[in-house]
Amino acid sequence: MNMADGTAVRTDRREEYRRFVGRKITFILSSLILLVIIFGVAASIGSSDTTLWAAYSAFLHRFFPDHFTTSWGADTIVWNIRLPRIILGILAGISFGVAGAVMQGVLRNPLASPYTLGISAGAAFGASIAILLGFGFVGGEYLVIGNAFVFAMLCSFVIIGLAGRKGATPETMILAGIAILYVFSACTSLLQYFADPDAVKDVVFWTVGSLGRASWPAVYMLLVVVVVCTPILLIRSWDLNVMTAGDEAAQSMGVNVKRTRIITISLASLLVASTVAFTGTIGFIGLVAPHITRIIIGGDNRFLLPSSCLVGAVFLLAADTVARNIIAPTIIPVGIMTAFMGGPLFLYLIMKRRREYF
Amino acid sequence: MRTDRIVVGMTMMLLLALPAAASDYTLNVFGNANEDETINMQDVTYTELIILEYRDETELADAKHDDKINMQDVTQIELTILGKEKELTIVDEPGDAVTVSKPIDTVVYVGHNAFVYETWRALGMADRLVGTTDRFVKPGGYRYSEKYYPELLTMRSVGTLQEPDFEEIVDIAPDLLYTDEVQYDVKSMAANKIPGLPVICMDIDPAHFTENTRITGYIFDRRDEADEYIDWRNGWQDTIEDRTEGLSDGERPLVLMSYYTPGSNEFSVRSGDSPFHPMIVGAGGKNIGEDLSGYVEVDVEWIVDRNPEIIVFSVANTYCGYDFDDPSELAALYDDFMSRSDFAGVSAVVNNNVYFINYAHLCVGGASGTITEAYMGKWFQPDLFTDLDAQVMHQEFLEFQGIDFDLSEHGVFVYPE
Amino acid sequence: MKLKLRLNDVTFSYTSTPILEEITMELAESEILGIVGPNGAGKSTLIRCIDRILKPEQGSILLDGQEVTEMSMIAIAKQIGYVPQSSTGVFPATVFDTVLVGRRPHIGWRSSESDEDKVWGILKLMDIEDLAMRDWGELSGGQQQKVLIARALAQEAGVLLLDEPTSNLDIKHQLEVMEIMTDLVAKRGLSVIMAVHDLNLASRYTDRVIIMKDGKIFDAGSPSKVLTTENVGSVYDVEVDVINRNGEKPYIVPIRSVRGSG
Repeated sequence: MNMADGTAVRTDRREEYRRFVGRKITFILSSLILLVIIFGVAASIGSSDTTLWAAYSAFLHRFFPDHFTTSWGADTIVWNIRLPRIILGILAGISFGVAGAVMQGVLRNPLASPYTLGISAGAAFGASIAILLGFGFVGGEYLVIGNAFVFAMLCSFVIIGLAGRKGATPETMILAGIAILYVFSACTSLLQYFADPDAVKDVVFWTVGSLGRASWPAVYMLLVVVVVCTPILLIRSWDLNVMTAGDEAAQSMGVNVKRTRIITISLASLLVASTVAFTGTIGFIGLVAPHITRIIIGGDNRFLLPSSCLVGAVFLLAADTVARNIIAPTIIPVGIMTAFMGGPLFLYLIMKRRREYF
Repeated sequence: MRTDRIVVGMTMMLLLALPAAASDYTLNVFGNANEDETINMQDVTYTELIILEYRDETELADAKHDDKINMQDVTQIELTILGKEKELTIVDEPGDAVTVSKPIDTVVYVGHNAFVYETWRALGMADRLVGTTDRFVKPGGYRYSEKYYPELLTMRSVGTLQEPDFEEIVDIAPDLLYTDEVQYDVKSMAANKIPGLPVICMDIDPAHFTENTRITGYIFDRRDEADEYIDWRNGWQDTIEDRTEGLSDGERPLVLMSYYTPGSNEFSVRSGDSPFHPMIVGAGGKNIGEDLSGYVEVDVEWIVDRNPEIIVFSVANTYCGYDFDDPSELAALYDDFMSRSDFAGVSAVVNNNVYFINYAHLCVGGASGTITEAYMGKWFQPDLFTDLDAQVMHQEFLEFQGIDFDLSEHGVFVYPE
Repeated sequence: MKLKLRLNDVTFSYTSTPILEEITMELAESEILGIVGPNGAGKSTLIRCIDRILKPEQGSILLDGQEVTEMSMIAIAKQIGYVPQSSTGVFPATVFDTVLVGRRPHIGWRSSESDEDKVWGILKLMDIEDLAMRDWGELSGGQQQKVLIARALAQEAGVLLLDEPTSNLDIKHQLEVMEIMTDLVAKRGLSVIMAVHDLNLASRYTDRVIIMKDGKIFDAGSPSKVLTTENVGSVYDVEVDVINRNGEKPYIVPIRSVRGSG
């Protein structure tokens, strides 16, 4: 091989790499566009007879009151019913997507998710206590939400506490998560066993997950958490990349593995706990959104994390829009719909994939 | 006008001397200044006395619900007495003051149990219902019945209890949203999604039948009808309980009330704090679960040890009800239980004192719960109730419901009859 | 010869039994130092202590005269590169991205064009440019090892630590990896410490050898001084023949293991 050939090869490879990065950026941009489109669709369809034009007119009325008219019905449907629900769905999708990707990356385990780490089970137990026993840390409207949040955080503290211990490996953390999952599931089952069957139905409904409790206050609260936590996790994507090399290799490259693990899992847990408190356990997205993304654009966390956020949001919003409309006025809980739509899609992608991914 | 004042003044003088009347309950409607069972001229006087600082303020004296007690409240109470109030504020089950604008012509009911709607029918205002939950409207729903709720077959659905479809409710734009479900927090969901829409959360269970039916009368301007319905139901209730009241423990048979799933070895027991306990006691029985609390499931051994003399199983609409004429499915369920070897020695089985009764239409509350009490009275104390016919009460109930249904010809509600 | 790294009385233990006991050793600039010894002698532990992946209980480690235990992790990472014994890729990553990760000590949260240029340079140096877009997990063992070395090189550190870089490789790749190392030392002036199982590879490719037993340095010096019949025999409990032709590196021929001796 002479010099000219070598340079040619090198230029080719560089070109290939640029295209590879370009593909990832294209994917992120198209996910973003898709999210906007689904946002538009979700905002304009529902069981109400409100027409498409009336819905958009009601939407635009708040920005240009002189140019667009609205009615009480259209305004209520768009601004109080659909928009909080859509935005809560997007925020929940973002938070599940990024939390799942971070947990998988930082624990180097494709099975890691808010569910397998026991966080969802803790939240479900907290909610059960509120629903079945009426006991809660905060009262009124936030009884169930508060309890779910507190118990979800409690579970994460166990995991985080473990991460800080000497000699804790990702494997022990996953196993501990599964142990927590079983303990809290058992606690919930025990409560249910002694509870009135009617009330148990409420717990089951909560466990399945739904966006029905969306409201502006809920959106604002979750928005604060997502806006604070997500960028910090995105900035850490380099460290996550390094940590996929293994703890020791990561340390040798200057990453404080233990600290990074504690920070990222704490933030991911906070995201999940806050989200799950409002929506119930829509755990499947946390597992699947990162995998779907990884199959499409590869494992580089710098692109994976933002993409996983968007895929989670697109997916959750699409599932909820279908769930709201498929047999309206009966609304299917979105947790059921995500599993119905996500399961087959995931299987298809696993079988279609060209390379070994996990 | 002048004479009015004089009359009021004289009444005031009289009332000053009188102690407040003792009552069983407080009618939770703003304007009920003296917190008794009704709103009448006494409340006008009472409020005036509060304004004159002869009486301590009461919460309900603030008839206009504006945190001030003044002559406007007196006017509001007078209008309420005349049934001409423009707005009315009541306190519902979670304890919230809810103000509704009169008249209420349309109402959406995010409903769980049947007694609210049964009460509405009895008060002759069921036609104001413009939408309700799946469980009443969809075939297979827990409260669905072609013959009992024929008018609901074409009713607009507003989704499920757990997640009502608020878009539908906005489209309907009712005057009032009503729910009997505290658990799912329909109220706070509605407050977020449809601000300004009044939401009342109130059940009409047996324990609060009288006061809640009366409040319903006030809300929907059906006070006379409410009184008539209350009198009828309480009349039956008193007839039954007057006879059983003095029974000693020894005279009361030990009763297991539960439900039966073929093949199951676990039985729920109605505990001392369940709504069924007073029904069992009122009918002249001794509840096997009176010392328990909460939702309890026991095994066969627990029951056999205690050896109940009477067993009552409540049964879902899938075995009996208004839509059944043929008791064979219920009979098969009965035979299945009677042929169980583990219960063979229990005295209820030995003496054929096992009964099945419809759950969804009879057992669960309102006035219909009293029908179950009547049936059970016949089973528990046959000698005391020789002249009482539960089916007669049931048929009268159906007249209130406005349902043309001959119980002697149709329907399966109890077995064996 | 200029001193690059010096260890003084380094002791390390997980429990009460010390894994390393009072290790004192030196590494010169542009030198390849081989560490040999039986399984469990403390070779990997020693390497990890030098990189401060493990924290020694006592003793000092001086890098260019500076105490390593007092340096920040990033500062260490800029000066010491580490190639672990084994690495498993759980998630897919291209060779290019894997090597790019090695730039971590030099960049904040995003890489620049010049980082990418450096990676291309290293891929060329290692002659693995063609693999740039392949998934690391799909490569052969030898190729994977080269990528990991490339990643450590991307750190641009003066000292490279390798933990058994040739285990699991066929003979061609063993030689190739060793030749790359000698080449790097010659071209870039790197100082290299490598734990090696194969005594003959150690003998042939290292400038100096340390032979360890039970957490202590048994002997140190040039291969021909250290790899003697006596040393190897008593450290490994084996009988070996050492062919030591004049002026050439010693060649160790295993004969049989000595059982029950101790």
